[in-house]
Amino acid sequence: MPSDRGLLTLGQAGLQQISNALRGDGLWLDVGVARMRVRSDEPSLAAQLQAVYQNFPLQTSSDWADLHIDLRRQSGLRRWLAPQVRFFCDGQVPFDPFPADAALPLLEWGANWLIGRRCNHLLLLHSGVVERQGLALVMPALPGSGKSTLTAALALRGWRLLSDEFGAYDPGEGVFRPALKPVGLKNQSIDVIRAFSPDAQLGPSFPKTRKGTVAHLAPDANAVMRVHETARPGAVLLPRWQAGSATQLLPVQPQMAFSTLAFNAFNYQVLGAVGFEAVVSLTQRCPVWQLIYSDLDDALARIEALWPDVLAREAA
Amino acid sequence: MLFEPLGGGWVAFSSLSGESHLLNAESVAVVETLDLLQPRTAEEVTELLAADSGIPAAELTEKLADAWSMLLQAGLIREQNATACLQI
Repeated sequence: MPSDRGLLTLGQAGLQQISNALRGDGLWLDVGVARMRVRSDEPSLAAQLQAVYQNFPLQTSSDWADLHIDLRRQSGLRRWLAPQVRFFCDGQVPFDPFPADAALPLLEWGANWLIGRRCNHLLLLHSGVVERQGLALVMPALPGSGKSTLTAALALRGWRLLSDEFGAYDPGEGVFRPALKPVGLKNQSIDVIRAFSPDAQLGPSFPKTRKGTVAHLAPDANAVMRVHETARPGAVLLPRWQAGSATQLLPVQPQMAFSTLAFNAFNYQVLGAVGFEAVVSLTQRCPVWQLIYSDLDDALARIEALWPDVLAREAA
Repeated sequence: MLFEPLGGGWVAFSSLSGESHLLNAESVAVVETLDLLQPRTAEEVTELLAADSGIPAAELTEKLADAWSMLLQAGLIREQNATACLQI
């Protein structure tokens, strides 16, 4: 099915079309909080993008992009033996090069880094966010806590994915905005999600990155179609995966929730009083729980069970 | 300085330092008294709060002891020539 804009999706387009766009004027990817223009001469990137942005429209021109990203093969003699790719943005090279066949992880980390630095009109929590019935379930966490696994699992069970990386809270409107990119899964969580949902649209695995093996789950067509649809704050869940633990859902007191959210936000200090008011507002509006889990199905069942209470609280 | 009630306590943001703080009610009372009434000494603060709340001054002195040290440590107030002064 073509995208809502009448364009072919990347999944429907031929690899040559994607490759031509990357080598030409660029491929535009609208992730909600930002529109990215991606160009590259790395041959492997087209297929990687096709796999994990498969439901995004194939947009090859636009009058605006927030992020202009170029992934360029390194020149020099080493290109024959160990080719590398560099990330350019606005003429700057903020990172060390990656192996050329790991262009997608470099693009994803680089784009996230740019969003984190530039979207200072939003409070950016390091968080997964999914939505149901207009309300956002926000899952801020430190790396390694099972945030992405839980976010992916919820998205695969029908919750609308807003983001795996950014809880992008708009303080002016009091809503979360999608920052819709592929869900980055690492190491064991890749197999966990494969086992959880054998039909999950996972892209290629990239071993030996600085975070181990990574693979990305493609956002589904519904999430892409609604990439500009916001969600009101519903509840905050602080996930912590703990091997062998029973599922526990523990209420978090507001002052502790405030500290956790303020510490978790990428740009809390940058926003000053606006960030303070935003975190206070979230803490006042949302119930906050800590979720300790090891069994994904059980964790999801607990989340499903608490959601009617979240809806009732919002209605009240 | 911004204050917001949260749960059983308060959170505060100092635009001077850019830092946020968790405060109890006693600390907020001290800061608000310093801000609004500009007393010159800790004893004056205690007297004003005692008069306002009906709590005996001696009892309040004890209650406020931790608040003073917490506020000084957080940099939300500073001593000036042995008198308290709001740091905003």
